[in-house]
Amino acid sequence: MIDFLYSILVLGIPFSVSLLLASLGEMYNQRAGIFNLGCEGVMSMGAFVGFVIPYFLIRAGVESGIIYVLGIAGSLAAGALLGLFFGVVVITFKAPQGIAGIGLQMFGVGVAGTLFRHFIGGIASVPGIKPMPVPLLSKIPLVGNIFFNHSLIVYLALILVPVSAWVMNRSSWGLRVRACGTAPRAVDSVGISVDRVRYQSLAVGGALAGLAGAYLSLCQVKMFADTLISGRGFIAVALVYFGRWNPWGILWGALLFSVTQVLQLKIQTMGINVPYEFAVMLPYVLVIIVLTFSNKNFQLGPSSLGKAFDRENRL
Amino acid sequence: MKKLLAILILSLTLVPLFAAGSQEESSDQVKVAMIFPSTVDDKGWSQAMYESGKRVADANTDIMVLEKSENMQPVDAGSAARQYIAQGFQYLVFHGTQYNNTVVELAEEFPQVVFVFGTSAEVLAENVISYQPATEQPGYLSGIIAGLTTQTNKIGIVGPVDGGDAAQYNRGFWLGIKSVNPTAEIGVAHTGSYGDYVKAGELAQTFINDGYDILAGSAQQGLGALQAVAQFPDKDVYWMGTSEMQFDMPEGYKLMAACSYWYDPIFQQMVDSFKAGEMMEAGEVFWLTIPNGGFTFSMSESNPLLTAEVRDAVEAARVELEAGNLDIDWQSVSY
Repeated sequence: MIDFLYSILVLGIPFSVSLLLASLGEMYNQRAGIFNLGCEGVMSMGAFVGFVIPYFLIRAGVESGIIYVLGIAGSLAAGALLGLFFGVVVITFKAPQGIAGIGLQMFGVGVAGTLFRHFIGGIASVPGIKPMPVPLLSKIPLVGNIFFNHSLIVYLALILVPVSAWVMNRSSWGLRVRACGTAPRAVDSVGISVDRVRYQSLAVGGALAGLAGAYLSLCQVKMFADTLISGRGFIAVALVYFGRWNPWGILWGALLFSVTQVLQLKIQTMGINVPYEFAVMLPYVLVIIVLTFSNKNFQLGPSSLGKAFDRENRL
Repeated sequence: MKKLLAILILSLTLVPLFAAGSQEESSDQVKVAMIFPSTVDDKGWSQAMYESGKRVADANTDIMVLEKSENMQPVDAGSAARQYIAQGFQYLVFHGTQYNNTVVELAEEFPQVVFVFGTSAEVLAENVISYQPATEQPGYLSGIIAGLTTQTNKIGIVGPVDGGDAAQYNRGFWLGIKSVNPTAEIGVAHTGSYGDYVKAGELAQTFINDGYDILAGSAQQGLGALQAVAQFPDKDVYWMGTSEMQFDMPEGYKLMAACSYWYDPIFQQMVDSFKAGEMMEAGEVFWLTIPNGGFTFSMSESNPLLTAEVRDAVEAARVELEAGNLDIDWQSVSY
């Protein structure tokens, strides 16, 4: 039994990281009142930029680990820029956020795929970021491999959970972000620019979604294809609701989804007689069930979510 | 400022729409349009078909015009096809089982156009040519290798869905293993998608963590599994692929054997029919097999597990296949 649990957790944690990062990013957006359905597109661009920088540097003969640092920096920047671009559309021009988000998703996936074909030409791979075991801790039986034998981005993502909880609940910027999502008019009345705070949170959220994409292309599969994200951006949006806009809840949701994903794979590989179609559905069905039963908690969400703020409109 | 931003956003979104270029029309050519579910550089399913068409088109540059639409969902494929037909394309290739209903509908609506559709062993209409790769054959040969080289006696199948030629390949693989190693434990799992590289990688890692050392699978998602296998450079875990192009990738050293699809005869028949002043004969099924050159199969040159004994066993099976003495009853396998 312990072996079974170990084999699920040792894969479930690294597999959850892209969802965790993207969901945390989406949480920053939604807490500020912006509903960004374009997470998938931002992840795709992050995956592309994160991949293409090391790819060309390797071809230029650069072997050092700095190439991946640059790749990650590029994915953060690309994500932040797309977040700001989305801000121009939904904050400055006040376009409907749902429709604009779908547009951003198509734009990001399409541009990343087109640029990839133009600059690289076909599916390619990079050696990628290798695991970095934590000295001593990674040697602890069972626990060491589950928690302390991963790539740097995994540790970073896990650290970002308490950091985000602190930022949201303890920092003055977090208070402004939350206020923009629940009472933007009150924020405006004390002389704080709602638009500026929303732009800032979109940049932070976009950067995290970009990093989530780069995690896939540099750590998990170490390649890029235009279908690489395959709907994970939408799952990330759902996990924000699942986690009730709380970093710890999001961590729990991402872990639950990924662990269930590994569980369904193990059910199949162990030859347990369940039609594979049902097994594949399991993580998604679970998320729907939990969302259904957590419906009563929806009032905890930002009450101005998805609503454009117009300081001239007092109605 | 707002106006400037609006113009900038419009430019960013509209410019790509006009980047497609134009198509010169001509009626004295064989005009072939191809609809793909993935990109033509996927080092697998779509690329094999596209390169077959391109080889024939390159050899007949004044006769054959080749156009393509990639990443097509069935609903989009129908409208893309109508646009090609309006431009005078005589042949439309739909490369994927998911286009079945679209092809049936279009074939009835446009009887003057010949539709090439696969994979299917069924003739959908008089103006449809179905092609069916006998993937159980390369699957069987790969299975022989897996059965003879496994160190842990555990072999995993990373399936996309249990249907079409993927199901044939996997069952052929199963029969190949059992023919040389009846005691081997074979794990079978599916991702539920043809193109989810990440999920295929996750499935491959799950297999490897459970001690499976030889993995196989078809469809473009296989690249994700190969990447996962390559994350264990010092471990004797290997991948059996369905594209020989994967040998040229940096991870190719983890590829034990692979096959490639050769669709060239389909396109050559289009050109030959055109030269004879007629359309290609439709209403039949075109089979791709190892004996008729529809597949090539090759093994890694450098893998130490591929001993002379293993290579001889594969060669013997290939000879039997070509002689027509080996019947691979893939439909008998249920898992």
